[in-house]
Amino acid sequence: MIFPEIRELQVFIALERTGSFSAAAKKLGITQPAVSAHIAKLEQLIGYPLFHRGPDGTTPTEQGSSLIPLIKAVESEYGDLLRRADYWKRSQSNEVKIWTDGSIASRELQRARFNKPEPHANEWWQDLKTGVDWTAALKKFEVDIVITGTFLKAGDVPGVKTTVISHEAGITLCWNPDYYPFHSTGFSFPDALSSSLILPVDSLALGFRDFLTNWCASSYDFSLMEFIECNSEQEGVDACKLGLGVMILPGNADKRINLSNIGLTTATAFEFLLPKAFTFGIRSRTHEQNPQILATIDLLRKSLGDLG
Amino acid sequence: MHWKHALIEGRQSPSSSLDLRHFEAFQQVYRARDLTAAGHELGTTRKTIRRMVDNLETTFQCRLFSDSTRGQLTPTPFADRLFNDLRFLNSAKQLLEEHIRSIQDAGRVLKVGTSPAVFRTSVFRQVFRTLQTIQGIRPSYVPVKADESSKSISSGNCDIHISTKTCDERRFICEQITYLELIPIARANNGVFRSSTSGRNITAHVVSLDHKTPSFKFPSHLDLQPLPEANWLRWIDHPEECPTGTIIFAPDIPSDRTQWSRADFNNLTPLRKPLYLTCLRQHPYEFLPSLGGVIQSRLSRQ
Repeated sequence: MIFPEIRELQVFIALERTGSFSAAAKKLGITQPAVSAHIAKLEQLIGYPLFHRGPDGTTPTEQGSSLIPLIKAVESEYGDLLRRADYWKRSQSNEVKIWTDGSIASRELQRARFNKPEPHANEWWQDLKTGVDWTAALKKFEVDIVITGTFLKAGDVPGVKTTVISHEAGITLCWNPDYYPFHSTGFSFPDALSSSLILPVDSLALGFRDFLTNWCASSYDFSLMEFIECNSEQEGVDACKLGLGVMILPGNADKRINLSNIGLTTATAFEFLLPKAFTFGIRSRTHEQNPQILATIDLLRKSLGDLG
Repeated sequence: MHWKHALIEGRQSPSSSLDLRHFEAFQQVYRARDLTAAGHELGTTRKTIRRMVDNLETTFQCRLFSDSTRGQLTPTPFADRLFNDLRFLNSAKQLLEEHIRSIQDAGRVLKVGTSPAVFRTSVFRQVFRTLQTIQGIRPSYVPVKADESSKSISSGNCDIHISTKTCDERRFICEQITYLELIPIARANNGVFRSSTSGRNITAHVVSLDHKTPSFKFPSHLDLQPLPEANWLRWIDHPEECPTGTIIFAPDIPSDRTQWSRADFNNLTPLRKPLYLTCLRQHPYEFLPSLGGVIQSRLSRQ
């Protein structure tokens, strides 16, 4: 039996996920007739209709549904294979892939590394994309090192090791005193929550948003729905300076970013309740034996230590 | 001072897009240590295999085989690793292949759509029985309203549609498989039907199947009125609502002979309507276009 091509399987999965031919085409970056052609070829190969085409969307048929998990398995194994091969190729040529989040510390580190290039490793730096699960990417060899912060137990998954740079306690609220009348001491949470909020994206501090949402709901029966998202700490600081809202950051942000020097007022909370709330560190695979990657981690740790 | 921008993704250019068969070719070459032998196994030429291996080497930027010994290819360490890592992909592929085969062996479900009035005719029962005798098909019935027939076929609600309606659209295949007879029957009173006066024009109803009033060349002494399908079905199930003495050209004689009887007299002969099979031209079932012909030949043999 002739086996379907990987492209057809990818189109099948996209169509099953999105439920419409044009949406699947947009998702894959091809035209809609191309999607129809791939699906038609697949149906002809198997000899059964795989999707019901209807006015309210495309749904899988009985045969189509039975094939979904098997096709997903083949597609994910294929992806894993390519990533493993790529990783092996990287290790042969002494390359290390690094992802960084939008924290000011990471930016400083990146700049410091480029100032003194080391001869034994080629480092490929990329920004951590929002919405991407970096723990999965790390385990699947898509990236070798991730420098990011996590809140509480968020990044603690089997298979991922953290080389801790710093632990910070509690959370920090920050605002421009010209626009908001709050005081650092005697601070009231409900007042702050009812004003406009600036929160970091998940890639800046994994688990922070979930924590805040749950805590606001359980303590104040307040559902955190509307807020401004900042992709990097610098963005958040700029927005805060403009008086766009009250920024809430994990850990001791004042010490980390020096917020008081910029003219912003801060207040901390939960320092005793959550003494090691925020962890900033270098993440890698638990059983990493690649000497290149281990050496790079060491180098990064030292550099971050130098930066203070 | 310059920034290094990583671009390891996108190493694959559109011309060298990888596929599962490239890895299949690689595995064969690894086992056979020879390009021609691998080609024999997979049913392709040595050149094709060579091109596929080259493609892999370009994508991974790494040699896979080195021909150190004359005529024998030696795999590089990268090739060794790749061959080992292919085990997982192979097992997933095998599971998928087995499942596809089991689906194909199970016999394909053929959904036959038709309006309820046609469904109750003996002709349709014959057609359905013919379908049941065809190897590898499991026919099932799907009720389809007459005005929704093309929607039903194109959405996949039914695979074929049997009706008296033709379809001119290019995306459908429409073939005549047999004919349906509209038999004159009459609403009888205890099995007795008295014909009304002769010599005058006789009023009769014609069941308009599939929402189309049949256009026949009617004998001049007949005064025909169309009877909608829904009304006809209502009258079959509730004969008391049909006034006695009514003559109807119906697709079938209801089994209750106390209420209905044949009315072949006064030159009232059955009217013939062709019965068509409609299906999508681009339907995945490859046997559909020839199905009409198969049914036709089997029916004519009976």
